[in-house]
Amino acid sequence: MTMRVSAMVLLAGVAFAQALPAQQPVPDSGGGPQPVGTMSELMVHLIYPTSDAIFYILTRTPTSTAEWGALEGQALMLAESANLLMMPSRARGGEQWIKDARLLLDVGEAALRAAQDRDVEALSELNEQLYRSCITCHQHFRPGYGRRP
Amino acid sequence: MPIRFPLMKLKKYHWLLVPVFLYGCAPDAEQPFTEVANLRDLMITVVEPAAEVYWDAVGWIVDASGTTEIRPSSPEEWEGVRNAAYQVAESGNLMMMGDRAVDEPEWIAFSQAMINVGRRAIEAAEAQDEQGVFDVGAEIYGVCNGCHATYASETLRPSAGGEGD
Repeated sequence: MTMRVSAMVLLAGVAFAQALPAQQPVPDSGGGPQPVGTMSELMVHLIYPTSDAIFYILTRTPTSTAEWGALEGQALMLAESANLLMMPSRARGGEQWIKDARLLLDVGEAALRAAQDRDVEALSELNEQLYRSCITCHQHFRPGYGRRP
Repeated sequence: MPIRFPLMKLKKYHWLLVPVFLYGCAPDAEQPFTEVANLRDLMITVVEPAAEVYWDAVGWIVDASGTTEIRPSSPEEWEGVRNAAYQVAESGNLMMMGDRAVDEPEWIAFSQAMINVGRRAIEAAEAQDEQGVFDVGAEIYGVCNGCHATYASETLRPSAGGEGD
């Protein structure tokens, strides 16, 4: 009897221990990263402007060293925004959230390399991948996404 | 005579400790971050340009011909100042991620100071408060210099030259 109870408690403990990280996002402590704005503000003030720099590369093509440098900054900020999305206090949906954020990180990093190479064609070709990374996450996590108001 | 502890009477309930033990063995929440740039490149490519946008946004030039005011002249320009402030603030978080983080309390303190001053920078820009942007700009400069003095003193030397100084 005692063995049976111990086994049940063991199994319950395993389930509890394994489920904990997924159910309870680790709060950002005072000693680590802490979100500056809401998710909406992160999108509006960082991700939209930096992604626009890639989306509109054909009409806003840099024409000077300074402008190319600025584009590199936009691409790097876009890629690193994925890390900001993965902060425990921002991550909303466990593995799927991280997976979707990595789509943004990957395309942002590719955009950074293309900007460093001053390769307008490569940047233009990344538009589809960037668009997909946005809508994939929005479809998973943005309520009502794609529905008419 | 063996010493008997009253607690030993509870030994038949030892299995109650199993969940506690397993809780301690729960896998650490893995940090999912992947740095796209090292610290130096983050500074040169994102932080410094964003801070420059903020510092250059407002100012007053007083000369023989009078006072010339420098300020954003449209909502779009103010938006650019605010977005730069967001980049500064969130860069404080990026400094604490992955290999960029230095395992010292001072590093965390400077990173958080950057987040905090960045928040004030956002507020001043949203309020389109020229004097506020000017003043918070000086605070940003102070946080930058404090961190550089501790971790990158070579960037403070006028003769250092090159990128990142």
